[in-house]
Order: sequence, then C-alpha cells, then structure tokens
Amino acid sequence: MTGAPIRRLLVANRGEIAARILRTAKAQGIECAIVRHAAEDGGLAPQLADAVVPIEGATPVAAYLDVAQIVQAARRWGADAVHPGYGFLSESPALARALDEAGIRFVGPPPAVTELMGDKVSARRFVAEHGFPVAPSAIEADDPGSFTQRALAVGLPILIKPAAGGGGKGMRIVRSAEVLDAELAAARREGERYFGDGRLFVERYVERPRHIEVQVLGDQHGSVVHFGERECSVQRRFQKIIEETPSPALDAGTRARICEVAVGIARAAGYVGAGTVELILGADGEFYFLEMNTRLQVEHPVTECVTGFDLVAEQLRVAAGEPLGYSQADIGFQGHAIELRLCAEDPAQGFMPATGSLQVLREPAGPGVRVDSGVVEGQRVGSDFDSLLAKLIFHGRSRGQALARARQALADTACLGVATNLDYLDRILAHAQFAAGDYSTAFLDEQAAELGDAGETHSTALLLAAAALSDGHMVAAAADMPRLYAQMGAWRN
Amino acid sequence: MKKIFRLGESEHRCSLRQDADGLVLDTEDGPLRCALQPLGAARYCVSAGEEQAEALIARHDDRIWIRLRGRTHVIEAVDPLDAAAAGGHDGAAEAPMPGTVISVLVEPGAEVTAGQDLVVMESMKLEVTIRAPHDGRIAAVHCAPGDQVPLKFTLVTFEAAP
Repeated sequence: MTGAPIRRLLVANRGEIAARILRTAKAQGIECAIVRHAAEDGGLAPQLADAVVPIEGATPVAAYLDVAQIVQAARRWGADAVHPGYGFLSESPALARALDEAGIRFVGPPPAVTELMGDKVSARRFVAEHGFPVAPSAIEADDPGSFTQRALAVGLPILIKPAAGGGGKGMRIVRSAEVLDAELAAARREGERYFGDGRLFVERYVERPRHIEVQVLGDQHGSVVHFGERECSVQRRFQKIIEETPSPALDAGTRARICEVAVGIARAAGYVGAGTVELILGADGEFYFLEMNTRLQVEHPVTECVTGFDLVAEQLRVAAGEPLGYSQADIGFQGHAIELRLCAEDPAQGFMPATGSLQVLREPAGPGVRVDSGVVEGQRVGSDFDSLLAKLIFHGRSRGQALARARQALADTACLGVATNLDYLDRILAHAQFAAGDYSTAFLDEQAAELGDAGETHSTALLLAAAALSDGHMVAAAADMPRLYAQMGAWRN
Repeated sequence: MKKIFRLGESEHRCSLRQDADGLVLDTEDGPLRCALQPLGAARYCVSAGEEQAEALIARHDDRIWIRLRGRTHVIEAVDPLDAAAAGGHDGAAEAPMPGTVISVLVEPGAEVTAGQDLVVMESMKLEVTIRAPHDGRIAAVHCAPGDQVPLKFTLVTFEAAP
C-alpha cells in the first residue's frame, strides 16, 4: 500500500527543529506552514515557512501541547500531514489519533507504539519480555505502599525516573537513603507538571555509564533498519550537550550487538518511522535498554553526516506509505561527526537558563561544518521555551579532523547579548579526556573544576578600552572636558 | 567621567580623558592610550597601549559583551555613585534566573532556618528551589505563583536581625 504523497505539511514545533524540517520539506516541493504562539518573538522558522498559523495558550508551552488546537490549525490550513518535531506532542498518541480521525497523517509511528514506548514502565517490561537486557528496577505502580522499600532494595545508588518521562526531566540520582523521600516528592512534582503523570520508577544507577543510542527506521511494510549509534555521554542535568558518531567506546563486536538489539526491539514493537533506542553501557561492556524515543532526535544530524541520509526526508517518505527501498547493507558509514548544542545558559551559574537579546550572532561555516539554527541576529531570547539556540555539527574523515574543524569553527562563532555555553563547549573539546574519547555521563561533573572558566584573561587592557570607548557618555564627556583639567588626570579631583 | 568595570570577579576603576594625541584611559595600573575603530557589523579594531586586536562588541544598558581572541567576555559598567548607594543584599532571597514562580512555600512572619525551601521557580523547563540564605523571620513575600520575575528579583525579604 502506498498512500498519496504529502503536499501540505504543518510543522507543529518551533526553533531549530522546525527550521530543519521546513528546509527538507520545502526542498521536496511540499508547501509548509508552522504554528506559532505570540511569545515566539522572531526566530528563523517562521521566515522559512510558507504560512504561519497562530496558536494560543495559557502559557506559550501550553499552546504547543494543545492537541485540539494543533489539529484545528492543520484542518484550517488544509494540511495533509503534521510533523511534530521533537518534544511537545511528538510522542503523543492523542495527537496521532486525533489527526487520524481528521484524515491527516502524523509523521511518526502509530499511536499503539508511541503508547507502549511512551510509558517507560511498560516499555521496559516489553523489552525484558522479548529477551533484551534491562537494568534492575522497582516500579511504583506495582505496589505504591511498598515503593520506598522496594526502591532501596534495588541497591543504592538508584536513579528515580518519571514513568511518563523523557529528556531527563524529573530524574534524580539518590546515593543515600535519608534523601530518598524528598527526591521522590520532587521527581513526582516534576513528572506531574511536565507529563501530567506523577508515577515513578527507580532503576539501579550504573556508575560512570556511557549513554549510547541507535537510530532506527521502519516503514509501513515491515522493514526495519538501523543507521548506527550515537554517543551522547556528555551531559549536564541528564541532558546531552555534545553527541558524536561513531562512539569512541565501542569495538566492532559490541557495536554490532547493540545495533542488533535496537533493531530487534523496534521490530518486536512493530515500529514505523524514525526512532531511537537509548541504552546504557557500563564500564564492563554490559549494556541495558534505557528507553525508546519514538520521534526524531535532537542529535540526528550526526547520523545524517556519516550516512548521507536525510532522516526527515525518510520520515516523510515513510509517512506517505513508501517502502524504504533499501536494506541494511545499503547503509554505509563514512568518517566521524560531532554535534555541539549552543544553549542560552550560563555554565558558571550551574547552567541556569539565560535570557537577553541576540545582539550579535556569528555562525560558523566551512568544509564539514553544518549549522542547524533556530535563531536570527537581533532576536529576543525569553524564558518561555527550551534554551537550545542552535546545533553546530562537524564532519570529518576521522574523529581528529571533525574535532579540529569544531575547534576552529568555535573560534569563528560569536553570540553576544545573552549568556551561552559557547566558551564552555570549547573548553570541553580542549579537555584531554574528551579529546581521547575517554568519558562517561559523569564527565562534566567530575571535571567541573577544570572545565570551569578560570576567569583569567591576558586581555584586560583591551577589554577595558573596548568597554570605555563603546560607552557614548564616557567618550562624549572625555571630549567635552577642558583640556587643562583633563591633563591633571581624572582621579585627582 | 569615572566608571567601575566589573570583569568576572575583579573590579576596575577607570576614567577616560582626551589629550592632544587622542584618548587616554586612566586605570588603576596607569594610563593607557586607546582607540576603537569601527569595522562594520559590530566588529571593531581595539587598541590599548601596545596591544591591538579585532573584537565583536555589543552593548545592552550597562552590560558590554565582547568577543575577543576566541573568548566571550561580559563587562558590567557601574557608576561609582550607584555602587556606593547600593546596600548589601543580606536579608533577601533573589531569583537566580529569570522565570516563572511555581510555588511560594513561606508566609510573612514565618521563622525559617538556613537552607529551608522558600520559593520554587521554573525557567526553560528547569525547576529550581530557592532556599533561605540564613536563619531568620520572613518580613515580606514579593512574589506569587504564576509571576514572571527577572534575574535577581527580590523574592522574599527577611526581618532585620534583632
């Protein structure tokens, strides 16, 4: 069965991912619209879209989470498909169902799969039942009354996770029994707020783990392939900031086994579309299923760099009912790719989100350099949305070449008017352990002192001169000052 | 005209004057002949004493953002009179980031101990709990759930210690 091609696509997202989807869809001759809340002040995506459909909500985020409104927007504009991007409603079976009822295609897997994988507890159970590896755990819903005891019985340290979670929200590591109750309460609050579901589960926390994930793609005709792994262990607050492929941690044998497990899970779930199987790799080489993300992943561009595939184009083909048309053997891997997430946050203040105005924005360019940006110079950066501004992606024949390109490109990048992690990213790349590929998800915490800004500068005189001479009042006052008085020196009055 | 420039942890008192040869910046380490030549699109050639380099510069109110030699610097310009007038911020809990107040956990008159949770805030999907900086009695609460507050907004004030 091959459905009709997609002709009018509504992108139900914002920021860099909306821009990235729009570029591929438009290149295929698809007419594109984007939804937008008024708080979205400028940005690149609305400029790229053929039409903008306004949406409203009690908060800006609520508007993007409003299924009825997204369906209404798609209907009103005459979309025959909706691409949800990542985050927001991308893993919502409710949106997929509502669109289906409206005769509009959802660019993503069928709701049954999203439902199965969206509930982290049922996903783990499903994966374990099919003989794939999962970590020891305790699930609150099994018997809420004994949850605390069962959580402790898993053995400290443990990791608390919302059953409906994802993206690191509400996750907490607990190393001592005294703080367990308080951490459970905080995780529950976050789960309720972000996912509308406060149920939790805990998992044995693997010390110094690596976070490895595998990109999979299935069509509506039963074919499932993988596009290799991504190494995503450079994280702060359980959120990735640097991803690369191939993983420096995997030998050929482990890589083959991990990719085989990922494809096996996707196949067992009847997976359709692009998805990602996330796994935890211990220092001993053992790996466990973590979760499956039933959507396009933020870090998908590194996979695109080394495979040459456009994953959004593949998503659109699958949604239109086309068969993949290639097999696993047709997917080759070339070179190495690294992605850096440029975020509006202040590493010196515990990665606190920062707001401001992008007064100066210089994005890098050059061979092997790709920028997936969602912002334009002059744009206001508010606190309504995620802090991701742009993704800087570097491809080389080797890891060394990709890294060298990244470092040169960062030197050519600038972002002024809002605090960002730009300089912090460069310090990570310069770190000997990162350069050697020897790091775990604990890397940023363990190396916090070395990665912190020493604050030293050899440019103090230049900086003070720049500050004073760009101050119109100071310059004007200096020019107006009677010459004799000035010659006395300003500090002598 | 004097200004204090805050650069990281350090403060630099500076003033600018003009002589027959151009502009001179008087710093605590002595005078520096300096110049700033615009090259277009926020790019400048800046010189100070013997040093010279290209930089990107952006100003917003009293903050000067400078990208120089592959590093980003933020300088805060303070009028020396304002600096003298501003009191310490002991006796208050401030917003560590701009964002939305989620919940307020104390009322005026409440006795709190150092580290006790006062206010929960959220920004860009990150939840942060603001805790009491010291023991004391709450004098006033300046925020309510749903409020959008800027960075360093005073959320809660304490009564002066007896």
